[in-house]
Amino acid sequence: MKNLSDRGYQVSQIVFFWIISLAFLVFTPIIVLFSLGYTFDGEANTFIKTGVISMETQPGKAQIYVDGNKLPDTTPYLLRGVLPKAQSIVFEKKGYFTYKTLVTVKPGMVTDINVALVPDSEIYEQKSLPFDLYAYFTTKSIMEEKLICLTDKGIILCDSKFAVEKVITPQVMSEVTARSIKHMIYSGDKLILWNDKQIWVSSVEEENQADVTVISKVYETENNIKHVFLGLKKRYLMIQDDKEVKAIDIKNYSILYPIAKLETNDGEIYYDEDSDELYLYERDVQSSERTLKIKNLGTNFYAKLQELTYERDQNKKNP
Amino acid sequence: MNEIKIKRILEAVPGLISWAILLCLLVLFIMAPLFAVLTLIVYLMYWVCRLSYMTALLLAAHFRMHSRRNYQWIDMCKKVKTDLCFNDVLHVVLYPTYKESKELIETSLDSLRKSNYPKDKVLVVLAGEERDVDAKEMLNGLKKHYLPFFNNIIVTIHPDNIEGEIPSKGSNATYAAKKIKDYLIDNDIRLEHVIISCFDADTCPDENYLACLTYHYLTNSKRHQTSYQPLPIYNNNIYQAPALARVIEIGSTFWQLIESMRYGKVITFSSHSMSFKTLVEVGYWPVDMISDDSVIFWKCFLHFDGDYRTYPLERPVYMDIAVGKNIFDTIKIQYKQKRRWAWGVENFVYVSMHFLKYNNISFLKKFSRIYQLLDNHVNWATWAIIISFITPFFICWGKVTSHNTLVFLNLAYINGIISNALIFVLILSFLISKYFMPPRPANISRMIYVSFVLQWLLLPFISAVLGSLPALDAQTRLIFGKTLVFNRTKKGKKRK
Repeated sequence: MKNLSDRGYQVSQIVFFWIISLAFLVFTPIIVLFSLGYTFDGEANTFIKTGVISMETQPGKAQIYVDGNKLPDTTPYLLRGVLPKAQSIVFEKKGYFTYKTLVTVKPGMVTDINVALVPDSEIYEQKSLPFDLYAYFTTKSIMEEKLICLTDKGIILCDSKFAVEKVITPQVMSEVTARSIKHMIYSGDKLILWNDKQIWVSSVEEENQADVTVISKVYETENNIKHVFLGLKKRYLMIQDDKEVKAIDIKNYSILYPIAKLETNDGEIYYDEDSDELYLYERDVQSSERTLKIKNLGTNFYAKLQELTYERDQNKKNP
Repeated sequence: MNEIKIKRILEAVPGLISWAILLCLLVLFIMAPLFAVLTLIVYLMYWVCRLSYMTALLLAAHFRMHSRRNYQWIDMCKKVKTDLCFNDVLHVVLYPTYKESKELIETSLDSLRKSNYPKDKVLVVLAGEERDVDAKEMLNGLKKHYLPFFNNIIVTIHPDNIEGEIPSKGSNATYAAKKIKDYLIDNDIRLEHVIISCFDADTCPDENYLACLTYHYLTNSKRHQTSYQPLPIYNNNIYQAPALARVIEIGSTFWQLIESMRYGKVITFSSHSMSFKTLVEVGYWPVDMISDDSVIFWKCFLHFDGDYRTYPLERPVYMDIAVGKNIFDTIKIQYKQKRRWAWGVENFVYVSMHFLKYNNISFLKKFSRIYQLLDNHVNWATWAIIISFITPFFICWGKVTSHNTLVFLNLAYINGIISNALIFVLILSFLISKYFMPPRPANISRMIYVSFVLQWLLLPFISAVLGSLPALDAQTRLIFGKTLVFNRTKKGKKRK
C-alpha cells in the first residue's frame, strides 16, 4: 500500500467500500436473526428460534452440566442457542452439594438461573479464637456486618469473621447469664442486652482517670420481657412484657414510667419513632375482637413526665 | 411552486430527517420495543461497518501522506514538461482577516516566508475589513515588514454594509479577489497561470506546500477543473491547548484524512487552493453564505457540468486549535466552531436548487452528490446521540424493567463489541496522531506526552456532547429559517 499511485488508492477505496458493503448485507440479517434467537438446524434444514439460559451461582466457578453434557466453562455462564424444551441443569462445585434443576427454555427469551450452593456439611474450616465464646449477636454498621461477642474476656466487638476489632468492656458476664441473653441493641455508644427477665445496659464510668464501659442490670421483672427498644427520641428504654409497656430513662434507670397496660399477654406493639406513636394490637377482653389502639406519646407524655417529675421532686423536698 | 417555497422546503429536509430518525426510534420504542431494538441493532451494524470502512480509509490516507512526505516537490516541478512552465506559475496567497492579532498573522507570514518555493513567485494579499478599525494600519505595517520577502503584498479593506452581502470570510475574500484580478490584468499576468490559495489567518502552509500544489497544477490536464485541498492539521498551539480541544481538532484532521480518500467525493474545506481563472469564471466565493469554502466547490461543479473535482494534496497546512480563556470557554468556542462547520448543510439547499435547474449533469451524478451531502450531515447530527444516549437508554430500560427478551440481551452484547472495537480505534488514533506532533518546545515538560495518551479517554464524552449536538443545532435553525451569524473563531493563543 505504501507506494501506490493515486489510481491505486482509488481502486483500494472502491474495493474497501464494496467489501464492507457486502459484509453489511451478509452479516446484518445473520445478526438480526441471531438477536432474535434464531439458529440454523442443519438436520431439519430450517431456522429454529432458540433461547438463552443465564446461569449464576453463589459462590461462582461451579461446573455446569446441561442434559448431562459438561460445558467448557464455569459459572457465571450464558448458554446460547438452547432449544425450546425442558433442559436439566446441574451445578457441581467441590465442597458444596450438587444442585439439580429442570428449566424449560422459551424461544427468544432469557431464562435466568441464580442459585446459592449449600456447603457440604462435612467440610469445616477450623478457626481458633482468642477467647471462650458464650454468645454472639450481629449488628450492622454502615458498610458491613459486625459481631458483638459475649466472652470470658468481656464483651468484644468483632468483624464478620470473628477478628477482634475492639473490647467494648472487659467486664465479664457469667457464662450462664451470657448464654441466657436473647437479644441485643448496639447503637455505637450504648449496648443493651436482655433475656426473658432482665435487662442490662452499658454505661461509661470514670475509673482511675480513665473512661471504662461497664454493664449494669437496669431492670428485672417476674413477667416475661417480650420486646425492648429505644423510644421518645431515644431517651427512654421502652420495655414490653406480658402485662404492660414501660419506659426507663436511660440517664437515670431509677426513673420508670408506665406507658400502656396490656389487657392480654399476646398483644403486639409497634412504635413509630418519627411521630412517637405507640400502636397496640390486642384482643379486647370483652368482645374477643382484635383492636388497634394508638397512643401518642409525644406531647402528652412529656407533659405527664413533667408532672411526674415535679411530684417526685416535691416529695423529695417534703418527705 | 415558487423558488422561495422550494428553498424553504429544502432547508427543512436535512433537519427533519435527523429529527425523524431520533424521534421515530423513541416513539417506536414506546409502541413496539422489540422492533425498535431490532432497528437499533441494524443501525449499530451499519456503524460497525462504517467505522471499519473509515478506519481502512484513515490508514490508507495516512500511508499515502507518509509515503510521499520526502518527495522533492520543487525538483519535480522543475523537471515536469507540460504546456505550462514552472516559471510561469504565480501563487496568490490570500489571508482574509478580521480582528486577528498581529502576532497571529506574522506567524502565518513567517511560515510562508520559510517555504522552499521561490518567493518572487508568491503574491500575498492581506484582506481586512472596514469594520475592523485597526486593520488598515496593522496590515500596512505587516506589508512594510514583509514586502522584501515576496513578489508583492497587496492590502485590501473590504467596505462594510454592501448590499447583498453578509459579514463573512467569503465576502471579504471575494472583494480581495476582484482587486487581485485588476492587479493581474494591469501587470499583464495571465489568469490561467495563477493559483490562488485562500487561507485562514492562522494557516501556516507546510514548507513544501506550494511546490506540491504547483506540481499537481502543472501535471493535471484538467487543472482549471480541479480544486486542491491540503490536509488541515491543527497543531500550531498543540502543546498549549487543553486536552479536550486537542482531541476535537485531531478528530477533525482525521475526518479530513478519511474524506481525502473518497476520490471523486472530496469537496473543499477551510484553507484550499484553485485556479484563479476558474475562480473568476464562477463569480468568486459566495458573499451571502457562511460556508463559502465548500460552496465555491459546488459553484465550480455546476459551472463545469459536474466535471469538477477536488484533489487531496499530500502536504498539509498547519492551523491553530481554537481555545478559550478556560475549559468552559473552550467548550463554548469549539461548539460554535463545529456548529459553523455544520452550517455546511446549507450546501444541500444550494446544490439541490441548482440541480433542479441544471440539465447538463446526469441524474445519477446529481443523486450521488445529493445523497452524499444528506448522508454526511444527517449522520453527523444523529450518530453520537444514538450511540451515546439512545442505545444505553434502551439497554438500561431493558435491565430496569427486567425485560428478559433475548433481543435486549443481544443489544447489550453488540454494544459491548462496538465499545471494544472503539478501543482499537482509540489506539489507532493515538498512533496516527503522533505523526502530527511538532517538536516539543524546550519549556514544555515531557510529562505532556502522558496527557497526549490519556486525552483519548475523553473521546466518548466529546463525541456525545460535541459530536452531534452542534450539527443538530445548525440543522434545526435551518428548519426554522434562522440564519447563523458568522462567528469568527477566536484563535491566537500564544504559540511558544
